[in-house]
Order: sequence, then structure tokens, then C-alpha cells
Amino acid sequence: MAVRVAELVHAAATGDEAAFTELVSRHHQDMLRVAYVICRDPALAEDAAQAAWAIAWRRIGDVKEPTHIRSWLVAVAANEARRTMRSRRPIIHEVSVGDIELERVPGVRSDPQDTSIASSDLRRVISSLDPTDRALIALRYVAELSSDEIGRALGMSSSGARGRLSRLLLRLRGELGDD
Amino acid sequence: MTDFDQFEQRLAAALRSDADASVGPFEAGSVADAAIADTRAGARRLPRATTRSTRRYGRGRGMTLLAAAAVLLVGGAVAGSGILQQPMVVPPTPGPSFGLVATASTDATSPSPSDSARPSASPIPAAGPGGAWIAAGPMDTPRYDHAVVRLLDGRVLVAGGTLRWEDRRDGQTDLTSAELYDPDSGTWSVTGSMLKPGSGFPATVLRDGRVLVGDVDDPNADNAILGAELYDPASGSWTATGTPLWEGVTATLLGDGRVLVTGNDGAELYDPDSGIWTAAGTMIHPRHSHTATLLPDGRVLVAGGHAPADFDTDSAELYDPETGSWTATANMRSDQETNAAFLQLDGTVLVLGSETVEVYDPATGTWTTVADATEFHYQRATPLSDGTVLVTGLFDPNAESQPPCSAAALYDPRTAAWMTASSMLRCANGSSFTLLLDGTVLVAGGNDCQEDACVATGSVQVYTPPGVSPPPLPAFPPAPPPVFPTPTPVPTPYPPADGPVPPNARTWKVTVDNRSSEPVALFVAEEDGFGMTRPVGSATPNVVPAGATERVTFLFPADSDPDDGWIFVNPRPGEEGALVGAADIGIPGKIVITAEGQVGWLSPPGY
Repeated sequence: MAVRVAELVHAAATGDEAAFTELVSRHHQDMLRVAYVICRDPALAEDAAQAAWAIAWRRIGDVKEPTHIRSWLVAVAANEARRTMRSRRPIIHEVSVGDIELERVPGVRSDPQDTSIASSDLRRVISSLDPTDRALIALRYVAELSSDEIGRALGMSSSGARGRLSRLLLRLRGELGDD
Repeated sequence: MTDFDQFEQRLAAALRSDADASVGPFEAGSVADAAIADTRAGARRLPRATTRSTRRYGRGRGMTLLAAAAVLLVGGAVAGSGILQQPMVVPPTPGPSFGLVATASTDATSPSPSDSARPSASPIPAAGPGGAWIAAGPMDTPRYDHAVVRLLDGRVLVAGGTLRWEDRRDGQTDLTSAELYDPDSGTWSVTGSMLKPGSGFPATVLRDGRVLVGDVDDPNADNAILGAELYDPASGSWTATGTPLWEGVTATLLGDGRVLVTGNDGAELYDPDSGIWTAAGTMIHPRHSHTATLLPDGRVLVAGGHAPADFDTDSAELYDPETGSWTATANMRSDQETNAAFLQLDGTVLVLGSETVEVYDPATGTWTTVADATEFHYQRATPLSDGTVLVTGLFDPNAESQPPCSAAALYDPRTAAWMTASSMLRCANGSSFTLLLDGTVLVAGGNDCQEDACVATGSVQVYTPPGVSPPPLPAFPPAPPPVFPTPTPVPTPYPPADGPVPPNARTWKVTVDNRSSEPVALFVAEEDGFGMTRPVGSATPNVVPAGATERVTFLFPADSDPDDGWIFVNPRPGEEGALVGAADIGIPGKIVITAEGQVGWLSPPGY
């Protein structure tokens, strides 16, 4: 698999559009997910991911470690999503009647066997974070990047990324009723 | 994903599920075609790495030429440090080569030239165009993310900070110790320790020379109690001084001697005469990652940053100490993090943001964009005596190959141009940057990190800007390499030991399907958020061979809360392993270890 990825990256860097399309098919979903967590808006997330691919097409030749292409791509998507958010006004997250009915009291599980996180809770809490914190969460828990990779992507030290993630996790535990 | 605990697994699953339910399907060919077409249409092009060095800093364009070049650093929202440097005014130095910088005092925080014991001239040749770095004496205690401030006599106080951080149960080790740097000898001496660790807001020199620093009782706690302390350089001792209302991001010494602290929760004032903290009016937009700059007329400009639960903001507002009120002023021209703001001799404020360099004119209340931000983002900006700004911690968020972490750049407001500076002797993550009276910059402490630990360094380096003579310091040996902590061994032995059998134990029998190529060890143990603490029950058998499926009997303490009981699955000896919550008891299913070593709870459809 690693060799194949390297071949794809090399081919795309030399202008092979089919190889580039294959990379899109492999990684676009992850990039969309990360962008969505940051933007909280499907259309903005798609715009950010699309912009990230434009950057990727121009700069894929810079990638020194082709096996790290995924972490690089999701980092570019995360930064495009943050850039998108900088130029926009706040979005008030829509809450449906169904969401309200399903809203749980933090710390109390309506069904003791249900340990999943309710979508309404998740959206409320994620929407309350600033874009950088959303990017930290997205890169860690959606893209599963290491702290080093997250630090490089967001321009903070590894220790800074770890510390901020630790604090975020504590906050999310509290707000999502995991105390 | 082996270091995810169950909550993190649920969070990851929920985030993915929510995203997948929200974004629609895509067609890879269309996405790729659009990206390629975007480039062919001449969309913004980014330089290749091979050409970056020549294009990196030359992006200045028609801009307002700024009067050289006194710099007042106020607010010090220096990204990533939480450290504030004291306000200081340094007059411009005419000509391209200015040797040692004379200083003048406009208030008590700015020492007069006679305060400095520095020689008036040096036989050492001035530094070249990129400046030069030399080593100074190491700190007594390695530290990073510490408070720092230049005292009125030119010495530098560092206090608190962090010694090490581990992604395990002992977390972060915070310091209370403090020490003083003597610029003449390049050495450090220990002074009195803070009463409590942490830093609730940046350190600030008061008009009488004492230093105000925020503290917290437990920096690792979510509900830490904030405090404040005063350091008296005359006695070298610390005393508590009142209780801040909330944590702050910037601290600004006002003309009347009070200190304005601003942050996410609003603004507050510290009165050194009474030691009392009070709310400072109502900020229009409480925020963080912003700057606060004392203007010549006594007002404070707060600009940029993030509003809580909001995005980068372009808003700016003014605090008037006379009336105690906030008023909006013109928005910046870009929404952006404002990494640093400096008052210039002409009374305007230079703001280096994440996107642009802008100048605020208090007389007209308007902003002017004078340059793009450097092509690289940066983490730290330090004003130099001639108005130039030293920028470090460069990174390119859209490139896999990054500039070395020791890379540095200079921004010259007179030409609005960026240029390459000499590389640091070592990286400066978590280091403090302090402009000294002789025009050099002290860079103290910092950290080195591995994947699961960061260790402080006591190493110190001094930057001599272009045209300035380096300080005549003796040669100091390099700081010793960091010693990373040995990973804490998993407390339960491997290979097997069944673990303690608790009295009146609750029994749970479950299938463990090990599809990996490694044997799996099982423990019933408590955990503290960072890993397993102590075994509290047993697993029989507690090893499932590679590729095997076993029916395992777990015994939990009778009084254990299901949410507090955990089964540790430890695919490899010596590793923390993954967790399966005992809350799954009663739900049909089994524990599965995949071929890749990921651990999960597999329930039949419908559960």
C-alpha cells in the first residue's frame, strides 16, 4: 500500500491527472469531515475541501514523504476551513424541534446502556468552540493525526497542541455529560 | 488509536457520523477536475519549496513609510506564550548602523541610560545583516511557558513555567521558582519563589519597579483558583495581592499606575495602591489572541483576536481609563489573530496579524494595511530598538516540509519589507523573548518534545540585531540535551497474572476475539484519564494468544460503578493499551482486537 501511495503522489506531482483523481477518491471524505467539523456548514466544508485540493495540485511536488500524504491533505483542508471561517460572520447553529426533544441533561444518560454522544449535544458543544479548537478536535479525532502533526498543521508546538487538546477534552467530557 | 479511551472513541465516532450525515456524496473526478482547472485559470499560486527562500520575505508593496521607530510593546499577546513584556520606549536610532542603543525614559517603566551598566561602546564588531546569535549562561532551573519581564535596572526576571509535561497520569509539572538574568555577566541567580505556580495573566512591571504576576492554585485543574502576586526586586520576595476576577490574556500598565487585564471574560483593573481588583467597564467584545496597546493619550487599543465561541474578529475598541468606558473604533482591515502590536514613535500602532500588517492611527481612528504577513505564519514577534520586529517560530500551514524551527525573520516597518534573519542556535518553543537595554534580545528556556512528553531546557541565547555589537559575554558551553522521563511501567506484570479477586465480585463472561498478530493481555483496573492506575479485579485467562478467541471471566469489585470499571487491553508489553468500559456489561457482544491492533466492542446489529 505504501509503495502504491508513493507512486500515486509522484505521478500526481508530475501532472498525472488520473493519479490525482485517485488521491481525491481516497482522501476527500476525510478532508470533508475535518472541514465540516471546523465550518459547521456543509457548503463551506465542501468549498474548503475543494480549495485544499487546488493547493494540493499545485504543491504536491513539495511533499517529501509521500506516505504522509493523508496527514498533509487533511492539514491543508483544516487550514482552508479556518481561513474560510475567518472571512465569515458567526453562524448560529440551527436546532430542530427533534434535537430539543432529544437534548439530554449533561451528566445524565437517558438510557444507561446508550453511551453514544447525541448529535444535538455534539453540535451544540462543537459550535461553541473557536475554529482553532475545532481544528484541533477534527485533526485529532476525525483525522487521527499525532500531536506533532497537529502542531505542524496549526502552527503550534507539539506540547502546545497536546496541552490545548487535553484541556479541550476535559471541557468536552464535562459538556457532553461524561463526568 | 490505541491511546484513545472510551470517551474519545465515542467522540470520534460521533464527529464522523455527524459529518457524514451532513456533507453529501462527492464525485472524485469532478473534485479533481475543478482543482486542476482552478490552477490553470491562474488562481493564486504558491511557491515551490525550491524557490521559497528567495520569495519568502520580499512581499512588501506600496505602503506607508513609518517614522522610525521607537517601539512600545504593550499587551504582549505573544502567541503561545501567555507572557507579557513590560511597556518600554526606546528612541529611534538614526542611520543604518547604530551600535549600542541608548535608552530614554518616558515613565517609570523605562529606565534611563544611566540605569544600564552596559558600556557605551564595544570593540566587538557589529552583527551582520541577519543579526547574530550567541549563547548565554543557562538558567538554574529549566522551564518553558514561564512569566518574564525586564526590571527597571535592566535585569530580567523569569518566574514559574513548566518543567515537563507527560501524556500520562502525572501530567504537567509546574514551577514556582524564579531567577534573575544579569545582562552584564550573562548569568542567572536564583531569587525568591512564587507563592503558587501558573500564570493567570502576563507579568507586568509597576511604576515602583515591583512586578505583578498572575497565579493559580492548581494549573492542571479545570476549576483552578486565580490569584495574583507581587515581586519586589529589592527584597527578592513575593506577596499575594488580591484576587483577579478572571483570567486574562493581556496586561497593560496604564498611565495612572493601574493595570488593565483583558481576556475572554472581559476587562478588569488592578490598583497597586489598594491591591484590589475591579471590573473595568464592559468590553464590547471580550476576546483572546488579541493585543492591547497603550496609546500616547492614555487610552488602550484592543484589536483583533478571537471572540469567545466566535471566529477571528476584525473589531477593535478603545478603553478610556478616565471614564472607565469602552468605545468601538474602526475595524481592522482583516479578521485575524493579532500576534503583536507595537506603538511607534509617531503615535501609530503597528499590528502584525496572521494575515496582514496594519497600522492604526489614533488621531483618525483608521487602519491602513501596509504589508502582507510573512508568507509563513509565526508564533512570536519581538520589537527591536530600531523599530524592526524579530519574528520566530515560522511555519507554513500548507506545506509538509517546514522551515527549520530555528528559522527567524525580520520585519522593517520603514520599508514594510520582510527579510531573513540568522537562524537561532536552537528552537524556541515555549521560550521567552525579552528586549534588553543594550538592544539585544534574551531568549530563555523552552522545551524539547517527543510524542508523549515535553522536557524544559535551561538553555539561553541572545540575539544581536543587525548593526548592534554583541554583548561581551564569555563563551558558555552548550546546554545539556534534555532527559526524557522513562515511561512509567504498566503496574501489572506481563506475562500473566490474573489480578486480585475482589470480595463479592461481580462476574462478567465475555468473548475476546484477538485477530491481531500479537498476544493480548487483559486487566481489570481503574484509570485516571491518562492510563491505568491499579488493578482492581481479575481476568481469567488474562492473555489471549495471537489469532485466538477466548471466553474470558472478568471479576469486578462489587461496589464499583460500571462507569469506573475498565478492562484494559494491552496488545504489547509495556504499553498503555486500550480501554473497554465495563459499562458494556449486559450488552450483547464481544471484545475484538483487529488485525491492526485496534480494540473495540462489537455488538450485533440493533445494539
